[in-house]
Order: sequence, then C-alpha cells, then structure tokens
Amino acid sequence: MANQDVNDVGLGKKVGLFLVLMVVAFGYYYFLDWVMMGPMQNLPFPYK
Amino acid sequence: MRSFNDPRKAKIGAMVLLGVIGLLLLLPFIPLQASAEEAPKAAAATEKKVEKAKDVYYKGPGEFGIVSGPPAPKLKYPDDYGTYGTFQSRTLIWVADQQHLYFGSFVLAVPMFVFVMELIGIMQKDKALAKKYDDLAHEFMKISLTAYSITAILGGILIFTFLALYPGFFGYLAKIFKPVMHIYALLFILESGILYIYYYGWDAMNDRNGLWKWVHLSISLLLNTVGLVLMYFANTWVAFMQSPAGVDAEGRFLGDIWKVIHTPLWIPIVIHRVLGNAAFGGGVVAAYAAYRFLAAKTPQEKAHYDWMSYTAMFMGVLALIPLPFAGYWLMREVYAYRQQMGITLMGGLLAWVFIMQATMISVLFITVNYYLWQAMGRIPGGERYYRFFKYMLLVLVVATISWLTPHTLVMTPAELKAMGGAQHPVVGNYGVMSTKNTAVNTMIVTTILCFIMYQRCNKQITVKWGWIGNVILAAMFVGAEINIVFLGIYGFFIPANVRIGLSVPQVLSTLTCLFAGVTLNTMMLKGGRPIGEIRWGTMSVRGAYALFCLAVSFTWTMAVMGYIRSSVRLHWHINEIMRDNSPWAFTNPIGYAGNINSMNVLIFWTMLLFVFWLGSLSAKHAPVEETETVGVGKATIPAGGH
Repeated sequence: MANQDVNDVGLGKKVGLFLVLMVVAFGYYYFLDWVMMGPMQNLPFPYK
Repeated sequence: MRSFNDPRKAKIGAMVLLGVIGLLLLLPFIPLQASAEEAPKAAAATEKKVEKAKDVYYKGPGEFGIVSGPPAPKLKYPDDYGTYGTFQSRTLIWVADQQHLYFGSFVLAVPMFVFVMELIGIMQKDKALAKKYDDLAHEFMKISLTAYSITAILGGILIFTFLALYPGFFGYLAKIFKPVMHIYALLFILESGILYIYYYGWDAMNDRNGLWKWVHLSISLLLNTVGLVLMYFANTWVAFMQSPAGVDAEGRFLGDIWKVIHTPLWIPIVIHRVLGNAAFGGGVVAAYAAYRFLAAKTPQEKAHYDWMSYTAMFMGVLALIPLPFAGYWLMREVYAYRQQMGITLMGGLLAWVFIMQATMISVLFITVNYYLWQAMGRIPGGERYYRFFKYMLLVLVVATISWLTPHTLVMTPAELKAMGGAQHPVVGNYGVMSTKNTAVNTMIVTTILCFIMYQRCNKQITVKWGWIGNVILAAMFVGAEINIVFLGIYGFFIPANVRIGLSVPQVLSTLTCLFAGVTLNTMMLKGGRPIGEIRWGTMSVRGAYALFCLAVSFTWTMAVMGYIRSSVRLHWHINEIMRDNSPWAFTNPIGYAGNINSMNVLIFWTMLLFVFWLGSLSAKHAPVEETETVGVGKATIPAGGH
C-alpha cells in the first residue's frame, strides 16, 4: 500500500467526504466570523 | 584563523567579543541615565514657575504635563524656508527622502534574510547544502554592504536638504526629539561596527558548526536588532508628524519623551514598514539574482542564480502576504486617530491614489503567480498542473477588476451633471471596501493555492491518507472562498461601521488556508516519491523578467504609498500643530505625483544597477563548486530543497 496512488480511491467516496468536510469547514469559518464580530469586539485589544 | 583551532582560546575570544558588543549596546543609553539623575534637581530648582498644559493626544491620568519647551514656531515664507533656484523645495525633499528610504529599507531587510539563510545553513545536515546556504547568505550580504554606504551618503544628503530647505521645521523637530537624537547617531555607529565585523569576519569565524559560527550568527542577530531599533527611531519622526503626542496644542514639549515617541500611529507604521521592507528587499535581491541568471555563462552559474532568485522571491512573498493586513490595521488606526484623515485617504482627495496602489498590488500578485507557473516548467511533474493556470489567471483578473472599480469618478462638471453625481449609478455601488477586501483575499488564497501546487510538482504523494488530505485541502479552500465572498456580499447589507470589522474574519479564512493548508500539504509530501530532480538553471527567460517586474512593482508601490502617507497631512508639517506656510503646501495632482514617483523609481534602479555591477565585479569566480553534477539537467539542490 506504500505506493498507493491517491487517485485510486473512488470518486463517490471523495465527494462524500468532501461534502461532510464542507459542513465542518463552514462550521469552522462561521465560528470564526461569529467570534470576531461578537465576543472579540468587546475586548480592549486588538480592536480598541 | 589558526588560533581559533584551540577550543579554549576560541571560547574566551567568542565571549570577549560578545561581551564587548553587549556593552556597546548599552552605550547609547548612558547619557539618558545621567540626565535622569539630574532631572529631579532641575525640577526642584524651577518648581515655583511650573506651567502645566494638556496633551494633544493622551487622555487620563497623564493628560497634563509640565511645559518643557517652546511652542512650535509659526513659519513664514520665505524667511523660514530655503529654495534652490526655481525648483519646488517639497519635490527636492521628496526625492531625497525617498531615495534614502529605498536604500535604508534594503539594507534593513537583507540582514533579516541573511540571518535566516545562515541559520538554515547551520541546521543542515548535508554539508554541501549547508555550504550553499552559507555562501548564499554571504553573497546577499555583499550586495547589502555597497548599498549600506549609499544609504549613509543619502542620509547625509537628506539632512543637508532639510537644513537648507526646511530649517524652521527641522529645528523644531530636533528640539522635540533632543533627548533621543544622540541615541540614533550612536546606534548608527554601532550598526556600522557590527556590520563590518559580521561581513569581514565571515570566513575567519567559519569553523563549520563550531562555536565561532554561532557567535557569527549571534552577531547577525545583534545586527538585525540594532537595525530594527534604528528604524523604530526613524519612524518616530514621521509618526509624530502625522499623529503628534506628548506636546500641547501649541506644540510645547510636555517633558515625557516616551509619549512623543509612542504616538498613536507609530507601531502600526513600524509593523507595516518592517513587512514592506522585507518584501521589497526580497524583490530586489531576486531581481539581482535574475540579472545574474540572465548574464550567466555556465550551467552551474545559471543553476545557482536560478535557485538564489527563487529563494529571495520566496522570502519576499512571505512578507508580502501579511502586508495587506498590516495595511488594513494601519488604516484602522488612522480612522481611530482622526476619522477625517481616514476619509481623506480612502474616500476623498487621495482615494484615486489608492486605485493606483490596487493596480500595483494586483500586478504584484499576478506576477508572483506567473513566476511560479514559469518556475514549474523546470520541475518534472509540474505539467500535471498546467491546465489549472488559465482558471487561476481568470480568478486573479476578475479580482483585479473588482479591486480597481472606483467608487467615485474624476469628471468634468458637464459629465458630473449628465451622470447625476460623482458616483456611477451601477459601477459606483461596487467600488466599496466590501468588494475590495473580497478581491484581495481571493488573490491571496489563489497565490497560496499556486504555491501548494508548486510544492507538489515533483512529488507523488505516497502517504496512505493522501486522498483524505486532498479532500480536506479542497474543503478548506472552497470553504474559505465561499466565506470570503459571503462576507463580501453581506457587507453591502450592513452599516459601514460594522462592515469595516468584516475584513478580520475574511483575513482569518485566508490565514487558515495559508498556515493549515501549507502545513497539511507539507505533511502529505513527506516521504513522497520524487518524479524527478528540479532542473535548476532551466527556468524560462520570461520567469527572470517576471522577477524584474516584481521588484520594480514593489519599488513603485512603495513610492505611491509613501506619497499617500505623507501627503495626508495636507497643509501641515506636523498635523494640527505646525502649519506648512510654504507655497508648496498644496496637494499635488495625481499626474505630477505619478511622475515624481516614477522618477524616484528610475533613480533608485539606476543606482542599484551600479550596486549590482559592483557585485558582479568581485564575483568573477563561479560561486557553485559542486562541479561534479552533470550539466544543467542535474540539480545541485536536492529535489526537496524548495
């Protein structure tokens, strides 16, 4: 398996994982947006 | 040196040298200590006639300070101003200032790279590669040394120009900064001393990875520290001119020099300038290497300079990527200091100069990508990615067009009437920060993606989780771009004061791609099967020209941004404290400013060509010694060397 080509995995599996990870990525980026526009605004640094 | 072979002597020698340099570092602060002891006595003597005044900036407990200096003089023309014939004094000082700044930035940036290069060299286990990095650092330093003398000469010319043309203003500034002026001068002497020991001691202290080599590296650290402190000092003057503090409304010094130094815009300007200098320095060294690459006669020389230009470009780009964010922070602080100043910059008189800046930065990013595409041509396996270039170029061009879209247009009264306002009914809606932030973040994300492709070119990924890594990367980049575009569109629906905060989460998405993306990619490439060796020296000529374009764009951008930062003071020498009463207190038309900036760029590059030429005179022997490698096709750097 050491020489396994990354393209050997089926497209369905890749797309499936991609969709799951997109949800995770959205969650992560949205969390960043929320933190930066919400709680971080009340801190004295670095925004004041 | 033979005596260095005795480890005991070497150790003592190294300690003594470091000790002396350490003591020298304290030298500039001795007079300050003395004056601090005298201060209470002096205060006691004048206790009866103490007058207190309000600080123009600082609020709270330290709001009032003891008046310790005369007010800012009200300058009169022509008594307080000098002229040279019919030349505009301001243009003369502009040129003198810009040239000094160019060379100053360059000699400040190069030692930073040299430190990193030397450290990489020491850390390398492969001896040949270690020597290559060490030689590269040495060569970087050689270019910097000639530039250092020119910087000093230009500094002298700048001071004479100030004294001759703006004696009233310079006299006041010298009075305000009197308690620390000598530190700058002494630090400059220290910088020169350390620089010469560092450069001329290179071979003498080179005992591979022994103690002397580490001492040499420590000297590099000292050199950078002193260089940065010097720059911090120089920036106190410009920051004071733009956002004064530590004085009252009449410009009287209130006794606390730290407040004069620590003005509201000081640190943001310093951070922006350090990054800017590093990007600019990288660009200039890359251009030097590209010049030597084009002029090289042997394949070994070509390979060496190809590698050198890539390394310098890479270092420059590392600084370029965070630069727009430092710029946004600086602008945020400008708005916080005086909203009107921010509006003059971004939405008023100087807004069109920002459009020029946007053009230049777009050119920078497109050029970096173009160079990487060209550079992939020398890497076997790079052809797998060729098909993506056109789409990336499309994204970059769309982002550029979005960024360049103006909010208001410069028009004749008739045109203004016909359109019903300075704002175009359709296009005008899109020329706002929401779009511009989205555009710049998209460009940076694209550049990061391009770099990830470049990293992968000659490797076949063999880790078992390779496909998962790829999917994570895809989700990370697609997610980031969707978030960036979403926040950009969302910005149109909320008030401006909330909108300005949206740039931060946008930036965080970009930074996630940069740090997490590149780290993940590097992990995936571990143990990868090499497709072939990098063919250093076979990069296309167009790639080398792209590096010239990059370096000149950096220079031009610096000129434009320097002009903006300086002219935002409008008719003030020192904002709201000291008026510019010379006939040149008006803001220049964009065309004139553009011409002077271009002239500055031309003068700088002419001088720099002289420096490059000097560099090539003393380096007639090929720096690459690994001649056993076969021709151009074989690289002297291992495939993973990038």
